[in-house]
Amino acid sequence: MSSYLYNYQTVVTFSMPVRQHAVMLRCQPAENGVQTVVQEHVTMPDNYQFCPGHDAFSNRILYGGIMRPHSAFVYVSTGIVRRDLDTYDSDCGFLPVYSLPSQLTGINSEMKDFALSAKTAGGNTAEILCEKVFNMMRYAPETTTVITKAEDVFSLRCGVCQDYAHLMTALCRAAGISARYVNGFVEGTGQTHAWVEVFDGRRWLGYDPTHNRTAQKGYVKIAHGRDANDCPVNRGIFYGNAVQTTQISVTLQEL
Amino acid sequence: MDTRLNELTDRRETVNKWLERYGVRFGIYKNNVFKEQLFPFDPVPRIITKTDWEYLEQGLRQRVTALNKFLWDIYHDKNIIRDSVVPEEFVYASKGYMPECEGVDPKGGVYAHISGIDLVEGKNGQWYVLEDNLRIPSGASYPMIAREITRKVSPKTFADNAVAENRGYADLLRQMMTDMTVGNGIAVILTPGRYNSAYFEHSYLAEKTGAVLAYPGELIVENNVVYYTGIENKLNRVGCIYRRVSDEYLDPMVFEASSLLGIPNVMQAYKAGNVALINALGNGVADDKGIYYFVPKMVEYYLHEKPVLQNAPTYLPYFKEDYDYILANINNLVIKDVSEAGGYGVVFGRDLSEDKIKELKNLIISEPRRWIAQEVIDFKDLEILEDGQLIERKADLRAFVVSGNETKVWKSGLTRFSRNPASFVVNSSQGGGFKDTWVMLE
Repeated sequence: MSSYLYNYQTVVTFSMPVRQHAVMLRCQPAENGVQTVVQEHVTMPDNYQFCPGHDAFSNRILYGGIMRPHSAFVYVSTGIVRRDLDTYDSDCGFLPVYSLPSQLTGINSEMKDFALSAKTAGGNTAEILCEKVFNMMRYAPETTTVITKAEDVFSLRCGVCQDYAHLMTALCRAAGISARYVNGFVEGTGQTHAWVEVFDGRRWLGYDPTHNRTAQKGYVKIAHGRDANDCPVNRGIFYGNAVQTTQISVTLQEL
Repeated sequence: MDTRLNELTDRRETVNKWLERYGVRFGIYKNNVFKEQLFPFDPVPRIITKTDWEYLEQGLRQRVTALNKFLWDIYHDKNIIRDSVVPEEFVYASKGYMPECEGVDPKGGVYAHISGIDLVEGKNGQWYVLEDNLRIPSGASYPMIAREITRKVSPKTFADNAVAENRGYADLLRQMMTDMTVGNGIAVILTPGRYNSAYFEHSYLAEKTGAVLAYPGELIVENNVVYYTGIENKLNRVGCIYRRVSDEYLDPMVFEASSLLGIPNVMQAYKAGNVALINALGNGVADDKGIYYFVPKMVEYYLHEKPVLQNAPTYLPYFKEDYDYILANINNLVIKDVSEAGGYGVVFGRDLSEDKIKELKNLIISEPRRWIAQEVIDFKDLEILEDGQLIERKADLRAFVVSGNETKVWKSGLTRFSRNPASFVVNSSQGGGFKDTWVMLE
């Protein structure tokens, strides 16, 4: 059992005022039997209206917005979350969906061969694919975008945690393993992180292909889905000609 | 005979001139360029006898009832999958399946409020369903306005013939929207705007039903409630949205993030039961060309009745027996790509060169789930007027079924014909024409 203090802050600034700004946020730790939120607090700008809810994949969401013109949007989510290291999520909902390619996790024949060769190598296929993805990729920010597909990552062989996670997710599914894309916090200071969960027949196990390790100790999950499109931490839309700048900072510290 | 033909030719000119004046157009994107074209009207009506209509009406109500039950089942208990009537992958691999709709309860269990069922009549007098359109079927406005104009041009026609009134479509829509409306809100028709191929229809139906025609940006969500802001920026509660924007563009917070046509967070208001969406979200899973094969089975499964209407004989390469049949008989079949609509992705084996056949076979072998094959039906041709002569052309019929508290069939429909004598594809996106459909009262 470990407990973590998290502080997740996002500052969105607009180069000129915008109106009808609608948002949907995933900024609170998941509650799933593995993680327990002991204490939490979300700070929003006063003039924003928000409703709590759950999305299709049972992730916690906060959604709403502001109609009047404004030029900044800042929110902070902090709290304490306890993580049980001996229990696992065993939710079987949507298993068929997590076995099929999605918009950002499509495959081609080359990827299929790659995935099948990992499967026939013997041993734990997910672990092998995690290592293979880690070895073939070069961590390189700004070489990809939030909508880069797994097929393109496979040929580019570089990207950020989202791309690593998409590639591993796509390859696992091609090898016949149900897999889902996960985002959340990792111990230390930085940005939000992304990794993968695979279903071993009974429960979901976390793998982090960006670091080539299991995603367990030091990881706090926010949300999951078929791919990043299903569970962005922040999605917004507004009317106006402004350029939007987003700054995210996350601190996760073991207590 | 000649005087009659002359009269018909005159009538055609007059009606088409009026249609043009009213701006009855059909927009088409060809090579990414938007082009509006007139949807040519032919003055020779399709006549459906009372007996035929009673048969069609019964079959259409049965089919749409089963489809609505299927949609409820897919997004709730999934009994039809558990009982192995429909294979799991046909549901989950369908582009139209939306996990976001799981557990959402549309009022009265109605998903397909407006269904456009495409039928053809065979030379043997047998009707076949070619396609179910349960998302945003368009086309009802064309026969409505054509009849309206014809009535003015030639009032005698409808005095001399016992034709069922077709003005009732607006009443059917209005009643259904009233049935579905939540919380005393107003009814709106959401249009993507004037560059949509069916913009004429959106504005026409708004006028005829008394619903407000709303444009993107005029509908907002606050605390899970939808408001219309188009009148002096005041908030008017919306209870029912007949949306002519497709699922993937309807809520940029949940679906296509770049969509400017949608209503941010409308999905949450819908899930909370605070607004009705006409049609419901997620219907694409039931009008998928692959699922079509299973519709007669749905009728038996949910209603314990024999299907009244037949599908065109269809084969799924997914099943081994069908797969072998298709590869052996591809030259005589029509092959359809399940992911395409609007008459695209449809090829006739007999039109293909040997190389193309080989190519198509390889596609079917590598992705069997993506294709269906059908026998080519020998349609009964309908007469159309061209250059002062009556000639025969292929035609289909889109029947409109409206489901609110009750399921009713509109006593008319859109009859489309292909102007090209060699073409079997009559979709309006492919540049055909239309004619009035007379349902006879006696």
